[in-house]
Amino acid sequence: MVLSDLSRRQFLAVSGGLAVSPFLPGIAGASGRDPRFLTGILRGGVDGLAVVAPVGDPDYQNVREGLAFERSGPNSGLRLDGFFALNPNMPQLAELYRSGEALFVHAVSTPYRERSHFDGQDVLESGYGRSGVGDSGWLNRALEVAAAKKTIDSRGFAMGAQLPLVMRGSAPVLSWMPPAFQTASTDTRLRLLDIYTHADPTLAAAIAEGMELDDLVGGEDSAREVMRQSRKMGGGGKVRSYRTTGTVAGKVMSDADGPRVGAFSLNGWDTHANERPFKGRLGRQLEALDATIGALRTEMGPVWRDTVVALVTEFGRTARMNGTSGTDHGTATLAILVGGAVNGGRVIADWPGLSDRALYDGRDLAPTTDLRAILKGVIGDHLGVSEAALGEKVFPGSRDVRPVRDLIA
Amino acid sequence: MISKDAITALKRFGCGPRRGEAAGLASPREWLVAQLDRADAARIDDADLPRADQAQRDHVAYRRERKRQLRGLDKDNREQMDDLKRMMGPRPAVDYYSQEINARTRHAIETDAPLVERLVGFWSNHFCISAAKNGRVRAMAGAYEREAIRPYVLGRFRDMLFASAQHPAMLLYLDNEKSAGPNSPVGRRRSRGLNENLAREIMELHTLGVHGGYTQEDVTNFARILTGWSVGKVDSPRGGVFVFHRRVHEPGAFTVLGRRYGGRGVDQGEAVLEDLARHPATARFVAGKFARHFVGDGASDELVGRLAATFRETDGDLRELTYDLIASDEAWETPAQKLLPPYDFIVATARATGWRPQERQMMKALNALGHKMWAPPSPAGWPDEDDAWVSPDAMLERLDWAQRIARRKAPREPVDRIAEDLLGPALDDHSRQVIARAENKGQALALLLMTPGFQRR
Repeated sequence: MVLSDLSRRQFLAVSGGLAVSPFLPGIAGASGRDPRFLTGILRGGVDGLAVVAPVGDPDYQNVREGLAFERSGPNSGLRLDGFFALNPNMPQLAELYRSGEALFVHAVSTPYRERSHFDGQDVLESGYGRSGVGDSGWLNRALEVAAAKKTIDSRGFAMGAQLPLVMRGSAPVLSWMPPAFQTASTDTRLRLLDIYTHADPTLAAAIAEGMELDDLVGGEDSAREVMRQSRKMGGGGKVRSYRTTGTVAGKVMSDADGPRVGAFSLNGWDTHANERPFKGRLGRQLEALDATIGALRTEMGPVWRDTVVALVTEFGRTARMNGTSGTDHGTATLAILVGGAVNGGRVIADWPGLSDRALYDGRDLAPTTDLRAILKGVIGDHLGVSEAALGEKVFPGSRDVRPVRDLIA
Repeated sequence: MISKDAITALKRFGCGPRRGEAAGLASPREWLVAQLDRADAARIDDADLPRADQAQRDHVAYRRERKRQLRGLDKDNREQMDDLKRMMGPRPAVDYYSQEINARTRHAIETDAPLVERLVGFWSNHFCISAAKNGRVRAMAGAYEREAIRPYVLGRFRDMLFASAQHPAMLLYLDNEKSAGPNSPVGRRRSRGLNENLAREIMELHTLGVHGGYTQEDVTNFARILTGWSVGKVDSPRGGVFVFHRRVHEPGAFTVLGRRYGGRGVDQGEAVLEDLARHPATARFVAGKFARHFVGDGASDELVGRLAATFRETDGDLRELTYDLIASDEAWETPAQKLLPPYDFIVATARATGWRPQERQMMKALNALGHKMWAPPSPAGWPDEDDAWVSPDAMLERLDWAQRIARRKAPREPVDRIAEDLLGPALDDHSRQVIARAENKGQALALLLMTPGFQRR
């Protein structure tokens, strides 16, 4: 097994497991701040080896033939430490890494060991050890526990037409999506509100809350305005639409009276063919993801220092390139934590190596870190959720998976 | 003069009123009862829609051909990709899916037996599959409903249970085609194992209900018994249809709910299904869901008990179940409360305004309103509580969509007259006034479509 000494040491340092939950009741958040926590679900299975590449692994160039970072030149990536390099399409993330506000966890995976998107996302988002068990998500349950202590606003936030599973549950959720149709005028909305106020308080509350949420985003024409601005900033369609997600989420989550916990999804990571991590399909995906992160950073403004954004995916992809210049569904991959509250500037990895024998099922990066350990560490230290609640309620049946401490600055 | 019962019949038990329909409905209950003899009305006769096996074959053939063509092409070269797209023609997973959505919607908008169509909606959600599973399931999602649900909505529960459990869409959706008995010839040679998904969901969601009194051991044993229930490889003689693979079937007799099931073939699993269909817990679970779907969350225990008794005594005769529901006073006296799911709202709007969706419009509207056709969030189906579809964002999106349709269909005549004609006593006075005072007819019609009187049933 090849080890990144530095990464190995850091991993051990943060997973000593002796620290007791530092949460003190009565303080806003575990760390005395007014915490913001966003989760981005990257759907389709991110090829972690193409985002943060283990360029120091002696088997790397061989295994990743056709997809590898070059040894020099523009496609050699940005060195993160003596072992890992970041894809060159992510300059804003690289900047945050340098300022200690981005952290990478490699060879990480959920407990799911098969290769269906459907079930993989179910495990990733439900927080259970297997698929098809629950119809609520770990983020909603974490919010429920944290809100019960009255340390944070009880409402969650989600982007998109359908509430992602990770944000479903009994905690109320505000959801927002770029409108699919031309929006009704405020006049029409108020007339409808008038009808509902007399006849249907439940629907009245929904409309009133929807209008309030639109105000958080910036008013009636805000959606079109956000999209117009994104267009002006340039980039392809994907970059623009991803950036809109970051901008809107940032506007809502940075509001003093807004929600503190939120989720969004970014699709398009299922790179079975012509993956092309630099100038092609995956390259564009990463460029768009970088734009999302940049937009979030900008919109969060001063509360960025209280923010953690977790970017996670259902599984990784095969280590080797397949017959169609892409990669197929795999196992371990990369998770990214970014935000001013992240104790970053490092890569956490118990590196399994890429030799034939080290690969999981002879084909995938082997999982050595349980994603739940990372998420439990973040939720515990950032939102002040106890280890008992994390092991029973947030990630049921995960008591043996100890939270990784020290992820929050 | 429009009676309250006429509105209840058209909304609670129907797909929404058309112009003039409520006034013409002299005996609403008889109108519904007459539909119980219209089992044929559940069928969609459209020769262009492929059977499930054909849909799968076309889907697999398309994927293979595309993969072959992609070799040597540059995926980032737009010209090459456009050429390939033109040459390949429409993708079955999208094209069939969209065609099926249109056929279903057209049928719901045009049907003169809307109660039957509502039964299809209920049972299709009860035995749901998900088009989001993969392209193969998506390509046959509509075929599943036409083949496993529609023929039985006024027939026997047992027959629908069999048809769904043995349909390729269900076997793929709940992974039973991957399940292998550890002691079967195939299981012993390769390390393939048991997948409990289908067995569990049949017990938890299709028959007994989660409190139906079964144990994990029952689930595991039922899963063992169901090994071998699979789908023929598309190139084989029984391609894309239900097959029983003896070589992955777990040998032996197993106990489920206290009864031992022997046998070595498909009959072993069928015997379990027979007993599950007749189990008292199934009658209770199904009757409760059925009553709450039509009457609302507050359906009384008494009504549920009566429907459960009918279900048991008639051996799961769904016509009788429906008859008893219509015959109960509770179903007519309980005020409208359930918010229309987006699909039902769109259909009701079409019936009320004369608007008809164009190609792909329906699929897009459903996606935008969060009700992707045949793609519920879990095997439990779409939520069915009275306010399940109430959320700030969803209500605003509904309003936006209503406004869009209202603009296209802006009527010549005064909208308050249309409102009276459609909803009669279901429209409260205040709503009526707000509609009458609207800025223009487009706005008035949009508001009408959004009133509680239109939105709740």
